[in-house]
Amino acid sequence: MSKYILGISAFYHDSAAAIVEDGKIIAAAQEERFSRKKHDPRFPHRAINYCLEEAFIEADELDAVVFYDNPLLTWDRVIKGSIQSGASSREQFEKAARSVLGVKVWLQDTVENAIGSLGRLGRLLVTEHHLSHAASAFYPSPFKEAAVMTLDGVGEWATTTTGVGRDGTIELQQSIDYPHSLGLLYSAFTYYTGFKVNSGEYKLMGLAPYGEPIYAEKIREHLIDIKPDGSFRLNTKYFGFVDGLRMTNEEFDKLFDGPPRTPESRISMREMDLAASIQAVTEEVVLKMARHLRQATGLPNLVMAGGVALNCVANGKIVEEGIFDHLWIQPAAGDAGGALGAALAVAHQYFEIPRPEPTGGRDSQSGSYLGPTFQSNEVTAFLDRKEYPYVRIVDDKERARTTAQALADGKIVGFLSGRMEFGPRALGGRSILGDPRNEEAQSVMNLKIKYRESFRPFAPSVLAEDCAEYFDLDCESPYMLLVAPVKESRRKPTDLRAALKSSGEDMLSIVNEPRSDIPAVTHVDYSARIQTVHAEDQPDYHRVISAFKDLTGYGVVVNTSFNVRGEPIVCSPEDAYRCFMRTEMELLVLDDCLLWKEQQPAFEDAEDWKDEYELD
Amino acid sequence: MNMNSIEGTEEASPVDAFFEQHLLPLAAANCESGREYFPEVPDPSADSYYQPRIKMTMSREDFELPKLEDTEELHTALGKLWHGDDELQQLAGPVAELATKLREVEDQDDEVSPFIYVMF
Repeated sequence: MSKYILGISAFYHDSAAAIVEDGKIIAAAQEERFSRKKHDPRFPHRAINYCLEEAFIEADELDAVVFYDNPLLTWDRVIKGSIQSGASSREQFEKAARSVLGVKVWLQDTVENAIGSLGRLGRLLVTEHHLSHAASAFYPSPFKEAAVMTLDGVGEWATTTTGVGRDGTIELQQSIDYPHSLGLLYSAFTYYTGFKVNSGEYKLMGLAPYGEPIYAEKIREHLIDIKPDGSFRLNTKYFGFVDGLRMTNEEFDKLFDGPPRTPESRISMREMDLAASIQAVTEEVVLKMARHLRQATGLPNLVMAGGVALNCVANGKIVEEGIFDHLWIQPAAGDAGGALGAALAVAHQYFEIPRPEPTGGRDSQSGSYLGPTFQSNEVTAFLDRKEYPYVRIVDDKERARTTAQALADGKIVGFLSGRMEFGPRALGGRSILGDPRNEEAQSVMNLKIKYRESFRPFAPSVLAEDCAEYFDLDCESPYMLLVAPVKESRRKPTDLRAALKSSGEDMLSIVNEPRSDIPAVTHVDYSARIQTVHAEDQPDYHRVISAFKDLTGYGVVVNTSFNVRGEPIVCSPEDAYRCFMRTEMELLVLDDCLLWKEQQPAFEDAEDWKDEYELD
Repeated sequence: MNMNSIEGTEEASPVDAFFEQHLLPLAAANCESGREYFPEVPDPSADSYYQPRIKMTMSREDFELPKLEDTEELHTALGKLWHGDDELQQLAGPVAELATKLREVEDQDDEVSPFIYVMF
């Protein structure tokens, strides 16, 4: 009889649920996709319901329910931190006590009340936060054994762990504990440069190539001491998070000669240089840790998870330096992925279910297409009910050709196909697509489709078999977690620093300057955040890119997540249609139905939708 | 407001009362004795900041969160967690009582500041 385990992460950020059957991943999804509240931290009722539906079971048929971290250990950190900080921690303690004591320690009741059962075990299980991350990285990986590295803000006490995964077991051998955290350090700079903590880190990473790391030495001298083995310790006197509700404090302001940038105000060279500096320091730590881990374990494979593992520039450097032979990163590397890791850890370590053999050298994450899908009849039923005009093209190749032709004609296409992705990146299941040859595509897509900052780069989805023609990357990157350079032969010379100075630091004019023959996906430093597309993972998407190649000679398209700024990535055809009509996309593909914007009736949007989503 | 008495602060936050009555005296005592739960600054003389983990894998028992359905069960669980630390063990009861007072259905609209990493 199969064993079903439900994993839950909640109450921090990006709550999620995942379900595994005998160690095989059945489904995983973030609550935000259903609730339409970005980074929704609330208990994931909807995501759990979806997982149970996908597994085709009722809650009382679960063998176990597991939460992805231990609230008692979290409380241990909270109270010790407050005792150590004393009177200055009053405000933080109030917030923390209400969160941990008011809600999290009573978790078992919350779960039982929410889903009506704790499964056959009749009690709630918990994992350690970083074991959840480690399990999410190791168990789905294609490796029988691997070195394990987890890095995030903080979970219970740990902020960093290293260890080894072997068959069904994970040993976490070393750790670095709170308040010494690379994730919190990066988030401090996210806050200081005027972005939102927990979601703006990606923006900071995208901003870094515009700047020079002129503050890196200052960071090393005052904020973080890095040892040769990559271990580190912060000087807490510069950080507000230790006893307050701000990431940085007055000492930090003094060190960098001014207050934090006001959110949404103009980004100056100072923020670009700060971004470049913290990125350089982060890469230094990650690379040193990776070298140390390779030496300590002697293993050729590395797996990673935790929020810092979403820093695809640092990940790309690990590959570029050849520290390990193979690298696998959990695509839902943040806390959402903890739900999956917790379920897998219980399957293999609690129930001792043997780990399924990786097949064909590929992972068992199924392309991370682990969310809901909508069958053709569901899509047409929705469109017919709403009387939205559409064309149904059942032939896969013809549909791909029509979509590719629209892209080649310069149109922006919304693309919903198959199961929704688990993790923060859209991988062709819920994506907005464009022509990478178009010089203005980046700024147009940012300003007229996504309504977000113009400096942010877009990612290329490239046929896996064609990757080496465009990029200096000789491994798979199916989850868009590696950054690599565009091939030298495709580049056009530019002088970024001079251009920034002469344009008065106007990033829009810089973005529009072509840097290669695929300018829309070439960042200002000639890098690209690559997704290699494999026919076996997402055949529809692979067909569209192949058809685009037949038309243009280019086996690569622009891929950005199907949402506008501040909105969670779309889940359902209805979400997709709404987003399509609110933006300047011209074609919407919903499974085998195509909708052209000019044929659609005027969209009645009662809500002032740009205010609907909180800025990210 | 009498900051040293929970009874005297019926309108005040129970968290604030706990903070005044239990946490601040312990903070002052630790400050005087020089006791620290974690280092706050780098140590130039250290070769490494990695800490070897005493327990590298989770046993079946480690996965099993103690039943926490009422004040007494939480008191027991915290007492066990803080076994060997007299100061913290004395807090187990008051913490459990505070948790019971704070126990609430999750506030679906409670927002955490966007300016801090959500770490609790």
